[in-house]
Amino acid sequence: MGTGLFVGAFIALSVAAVLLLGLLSVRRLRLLRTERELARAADRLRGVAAALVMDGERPPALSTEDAELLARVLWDFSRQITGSGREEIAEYFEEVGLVDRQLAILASGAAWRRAQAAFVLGDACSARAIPALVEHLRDPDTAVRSAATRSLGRLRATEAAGGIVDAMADRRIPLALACGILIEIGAGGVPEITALLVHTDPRSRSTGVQLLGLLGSAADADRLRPLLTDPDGSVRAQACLALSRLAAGDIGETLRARLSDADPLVRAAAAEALGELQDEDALDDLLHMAAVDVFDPARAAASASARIDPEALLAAATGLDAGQHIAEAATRVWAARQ
Amino acid sequence: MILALSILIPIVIIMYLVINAVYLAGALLASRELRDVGRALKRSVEREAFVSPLTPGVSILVPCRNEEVAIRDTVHSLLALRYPRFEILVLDGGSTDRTRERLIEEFALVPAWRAMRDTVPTGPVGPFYVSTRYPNLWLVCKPDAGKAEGLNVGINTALYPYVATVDGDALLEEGALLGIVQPLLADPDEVIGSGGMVRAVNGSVVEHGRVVEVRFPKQIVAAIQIEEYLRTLLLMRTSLSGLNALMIISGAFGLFRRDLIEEAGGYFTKTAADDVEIVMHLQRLAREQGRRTRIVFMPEPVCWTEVPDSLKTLLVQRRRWHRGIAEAIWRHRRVLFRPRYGRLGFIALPYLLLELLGPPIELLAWAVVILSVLAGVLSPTSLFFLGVSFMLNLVLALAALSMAEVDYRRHAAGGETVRMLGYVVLGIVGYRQLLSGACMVGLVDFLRGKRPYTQPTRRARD
Repeated sequence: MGTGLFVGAFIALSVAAVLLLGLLSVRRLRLLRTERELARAADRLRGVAAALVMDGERPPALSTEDAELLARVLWDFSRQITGSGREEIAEYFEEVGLVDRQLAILASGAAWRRAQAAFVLGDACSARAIPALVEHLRDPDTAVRSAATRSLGRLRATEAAGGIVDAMADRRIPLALACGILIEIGAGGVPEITALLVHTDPRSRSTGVQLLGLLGSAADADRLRPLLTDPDGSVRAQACLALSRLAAGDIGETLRARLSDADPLVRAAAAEALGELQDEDALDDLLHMAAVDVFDPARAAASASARIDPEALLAAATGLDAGQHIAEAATRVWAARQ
Repeated sequence: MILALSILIPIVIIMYLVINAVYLAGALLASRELRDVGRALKRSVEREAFVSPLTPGVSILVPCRNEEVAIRDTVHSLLALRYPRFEILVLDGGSTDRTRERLIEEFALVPAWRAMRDTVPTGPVGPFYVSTRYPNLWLVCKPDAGKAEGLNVGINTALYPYVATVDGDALLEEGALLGIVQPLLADPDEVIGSGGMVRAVNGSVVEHGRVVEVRFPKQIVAAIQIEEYLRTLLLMRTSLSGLNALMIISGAFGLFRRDLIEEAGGYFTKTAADDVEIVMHLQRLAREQGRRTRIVFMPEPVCWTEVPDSLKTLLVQRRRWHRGIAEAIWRHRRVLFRPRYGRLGFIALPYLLLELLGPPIELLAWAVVILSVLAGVLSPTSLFFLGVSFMLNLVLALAALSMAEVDYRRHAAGGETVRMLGYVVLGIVGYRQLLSGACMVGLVDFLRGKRPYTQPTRRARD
């Protein structure tokens, strides 16, 4: 029986090895052919793509393979350009039916196909895809939701900001991706982001504050001030940073008060914010904090001191009780001057 | 003796075949996983991650000792990384060559002060240097420190919430850090670490830390490892990652949450496999605290590293690695087959145990077959065993090559694949058995409590 088993296994494995060798050879040959074709067609098709994007010149009749290659070149282009060139790309893809085909695939049963279609629609530049992409922010598959989010960013879909904010708050899409996309969409998404400031989940409030600090204007500062006393430390910390970015009026005193917050995260953020504002009135407090506080706030306070008054920091570093953070910050100042 | 052999032959052969069957099953799982990863890579959101303010900063820890040949290229490759916020901490564990001088000259380093936490005990540290040209590049010296101690110094010094570990002779591709951070960005609550693909740089053309042309090394020993790395990393780590049972993130290129390493008490300094031990420790802690976690292997961000180019250094390296795996398993032995630890106790650690016991069993199988020939009791079964054993290894190697060929290829088109096939055969006959011997010695070292220190030797790059 043992021998029979081994004979069977040997034959099965030999067949598998032959099949794998065949697969390897076929893949290798196909890859070689594709690479050669790509190299041959790339220059020509790049020229065709450039003519379309810059002059609106429609491509000549192309073989199916060349049309596919041109689509890839245009997707690459669309990631690098803004303005009328994207409209030309959108018109071309509408004309050749790519947008309709991809929209149809969005209804596919296979999640990877839906994800791929959602991704391609972002590069196809057609605003007609926006409603379908927004709908797929609720797709059961994470990859599809992420691809739809990314494409809505590529399409600068201001009208999708609400959907993205909701999906982010419900943790349906990755936070970092959502934030990157909302930044890509820009100030048009600020009203929806503002809604996050009163969200029950501290993480959502914190993200909302952070985004408002990046995309808002000085006029939004009044919305942020109350969050300096939010029950959650990460929200208070982000509020300090956001207010310093918006450079809103006389915020220095309010931020200085946060240097004595119970949460080290908030103290560190307040120190960083005061450094950003170059608030000279905070210098003594910051130098003191750099010498006596726990690691992260002390390090932030020392860095902020260096930004506000490097000479004062260098002088403080000569003191016996300066501590390791002031010494490090002084080193950084000194090294930058070499 | 003949009676003993007749009993031993089927037992050893069956054990050997079971081990290889597990590898085969791993290959099948990996093929599905790699297909999915390949599709996901085509929908990369790295560009969006690059501009997102929520992409976390990363402190890159580069433990090194006597790396004067490679360290400048390593640091150049790190400085060229495309990533929004990072710092590089080169952690010199008491080099006796010109590693420190090379760094000081090349990157204009000057003496500096650097604040450190005392979260992980490390003893005295210093001196520190900072680059006047690249403010995010630091050299931290800790005399007579092993790799794990160096990493602990890095943990205490790190500025950012994530730490990446990179070997002192490794080269990262420009987008490697942004690539390896993707699983953590996609699921920051669950994913606590990730590791990238490691490939042999020997023979390739390197300019200022960039691999500009991928070539095969002249030394056969190094060339065989190219296929070996593909097989072990691309097949086995991918499949284990898919099963959420990954226990090894290569020290050459891994990324972890700093706070969790601090919670684990830092890297364990009394093992030759600190990279294996830390993954086990993090996974174990998570299960004990009732947290769902994942540690992910990514086949695409590539880290290029110098592999041993002589048989002697290779065997010494494998002996050390195997001892390290034994030490790590022993330290976390209570996890084995305990329901509380779920997959960790029933898949991940048993698999590692299989890896540990595989080489001795393989050697034993070969020894039994040879003894049978000498004793004149070699049955057709044993002969077919030899055939099956060869074919199993061939199938695994071919599977790895086939999978690598499509989405994860780095070698140039042309005769490279044919050449690789030649190395596959060489790897199966002779090479693999030699490595098993070295692993066996490593296991004996562990059992005898021996911990010989070995310094990898480096050859200047072509």
